[in-house]
Amino acid sequence: MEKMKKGDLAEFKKNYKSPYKGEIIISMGTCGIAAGGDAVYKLFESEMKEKGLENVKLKKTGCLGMCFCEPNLIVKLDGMPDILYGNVDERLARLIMNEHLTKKRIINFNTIFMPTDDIGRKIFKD
Amino acid sequence: MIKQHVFVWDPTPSNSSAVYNYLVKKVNERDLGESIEVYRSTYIGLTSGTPIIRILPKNIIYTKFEQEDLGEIFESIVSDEVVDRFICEYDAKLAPVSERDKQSKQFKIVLRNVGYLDPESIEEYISRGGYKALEKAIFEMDPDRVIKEIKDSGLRGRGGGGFSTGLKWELTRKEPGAEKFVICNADEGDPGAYMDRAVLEGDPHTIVEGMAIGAYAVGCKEGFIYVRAEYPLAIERLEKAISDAKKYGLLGDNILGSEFSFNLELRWGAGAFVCGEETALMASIEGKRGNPKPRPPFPSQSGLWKKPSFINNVETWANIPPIVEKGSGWFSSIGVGRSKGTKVFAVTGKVKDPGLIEVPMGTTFREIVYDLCGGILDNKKFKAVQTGGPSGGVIPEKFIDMSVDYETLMSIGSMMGSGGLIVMDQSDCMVDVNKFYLQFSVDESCGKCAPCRIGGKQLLDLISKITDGKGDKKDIQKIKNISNAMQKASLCALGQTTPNPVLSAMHYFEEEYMEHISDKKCRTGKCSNLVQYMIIPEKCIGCTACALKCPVKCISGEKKKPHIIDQKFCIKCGECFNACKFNAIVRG
Ligand SMILES: Cc1cc2nc3c(=O)[nH]c(=O)nc-3n(C[C@H](O)[C@H](O)[C@H](O)COP(=O)(O)O)c2cc1C
Repeated sequence: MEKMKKGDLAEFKKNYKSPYKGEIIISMGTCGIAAGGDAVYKLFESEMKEKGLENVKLKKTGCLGMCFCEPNLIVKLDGMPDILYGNVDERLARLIMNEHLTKKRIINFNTIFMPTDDIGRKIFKD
Repeated sequence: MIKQHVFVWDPTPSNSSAVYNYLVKKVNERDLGESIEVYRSTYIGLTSGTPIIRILPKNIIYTKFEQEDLGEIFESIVSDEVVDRFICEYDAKLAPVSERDKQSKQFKIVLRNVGYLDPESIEEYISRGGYKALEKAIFEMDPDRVIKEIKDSGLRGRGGGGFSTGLKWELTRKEPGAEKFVICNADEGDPGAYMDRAVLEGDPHTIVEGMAIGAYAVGCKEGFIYVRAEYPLAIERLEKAISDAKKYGLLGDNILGSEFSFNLELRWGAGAFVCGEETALMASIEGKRGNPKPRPPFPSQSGLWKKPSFINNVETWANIPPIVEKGSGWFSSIGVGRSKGTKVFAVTGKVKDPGLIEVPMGTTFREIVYDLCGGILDNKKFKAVQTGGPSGGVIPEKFIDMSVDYETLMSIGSMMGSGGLIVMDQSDCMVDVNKFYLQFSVDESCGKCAPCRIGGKQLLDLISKITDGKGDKKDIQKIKNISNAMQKASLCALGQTTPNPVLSAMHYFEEEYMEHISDKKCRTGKCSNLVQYMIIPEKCIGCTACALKCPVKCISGEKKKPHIIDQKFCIKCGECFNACKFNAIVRG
């Protein structure tokens, strides 16, 4: 890795593009892992490959702060609203893969809304 | 037309939600399934006593509508219009409207990335604007300018004390000496607090960036993050963050090609609460026993290895990059009075939706408990909140509408503390809660100074006497005297603040204390030596529900005949009391 110099950060940011069509972001702080987020992550990891869903990125993140519905995960797909699911168990995880990711249909239960938007992006917008 | 997703949240069980059923029926009747889909939502991001509808992708939220308004709302969805009068908008008095999600009372600065980015990917952090503030500080601002910016922002320490961060930096910068140290206090030890853990695990680069800015401003080449070993995931992610930052030239020698060099290392704490105290923490980093030292000299004069040093809390550090990036004016426009910015709280206890929240300073306890955390569990009655953990105090119901900021909390005998909020309902006994915190402080006292070592134990003995039903009216005065001595003579804030929870509970819940002492009664049944459960034979129908629940099997009797509790074996857990549907069990 080449060390960065003045101005490189902006350049990097500009050129940073995700090759994926969407993302699954699983809350995996200590709390999320303790609630079973780890098992959910592993399930997605193995099954997404099998189902040929490799164009969706599987990603870990920290604690969203919503302890009351862990494990939780966000599904972002191009052309669809971002959806957060709470209390994700094996059944719901499979439903998300088979319905939401494959058929673009949102599951009719356990959808949760984040108390805030993604403010981070706005704070550091150009 | 793009598809509209309509989410319905209803406080009544969702399968009998009239709102949901109505909308689904309408969609089916008109055969609009292709363009409108209705869903049930478990949680909609805000709470209210009435149903809420949220429509994506426009993200419109409707509240306070009646059943008869649903027709109009449905038609508006079909024609892709908005019905203004049902739109939910909180007033945004505490944060700049443009950047605040109007639909929530939360405002995230510290937690801006937590839960959104991959903490193990520096690329993502940079792609979200990370390290831009560091670049700006190094190339566009001289150190004094950075310090001025932090000072003007009004940022105060989030670790408990609330000391001005900018002033602390300035004092350290002014000290002579070529070698100075910067430290991050990640020893989070308050029971029930996990704000710092969330930041360390969710956004470690923010801390690295914040500390690099601090080091640049004060003139340090080396820094330490003192993180407790009980946070293995935080340690793992911090280590990755530090090594990635080095690879990218954002830490180490000649950062971003400039003259400025800075190295950062981790130090593990072994779990003593007192090691969160700054002088004890520095001793611990030096490899010594974690005992506090009298101040002065302050760490800014003689800190780590007797060199000028400054220490800030994790949450304080996480505020630094946005302040440098967006300027002090932006930051100081958020919050109230002398409390600027936001505060992260870990809300636990008897609330429906416990969790981590970040709100502008000046938000009220009512907003936190009822609007953000869904209210009290099982719809019981609110009793109090404990802020500041073992060093803080209780806030009774009469102050529930008070603004949460440093000054206000101080004025009512509590403190901001690090951000743990424990909510209590009517089934919690204040004396029992005090006993818990005292036990904690006694266990964690380092034993160096007598007032803390001996005073804490004496206080605990007195409180235990009261909860055992052996309390005396004179004990109140004794507690006050010992507390006074501890506050005045203890070496560090651990001993000085140990009496706080007791004093504040005695003040606001005097009646409950006196009940324990004079009547030998505990109204909640938590103090097991003060309660006895008995079955009234006339009311008992012999359903055996209590006997089945009893964990020690000390309830006996024939079916359909009155039962009896064997007091010798009863552990006073109260399970039978809760199980009885005929009010046949009394607590005395
Ligand atoms: C017994 C005791 C424990 C403390 N524990 C912590 C802690 O876990 N985390 C923390 O940031 N500050 C803790 N502090 C406060 C620190 O001494 C210090 O004030 C703080 O790290 C300064 O950072 P700030 O100005 O950013 O708040 C503790 C203080 C005492 C007396």
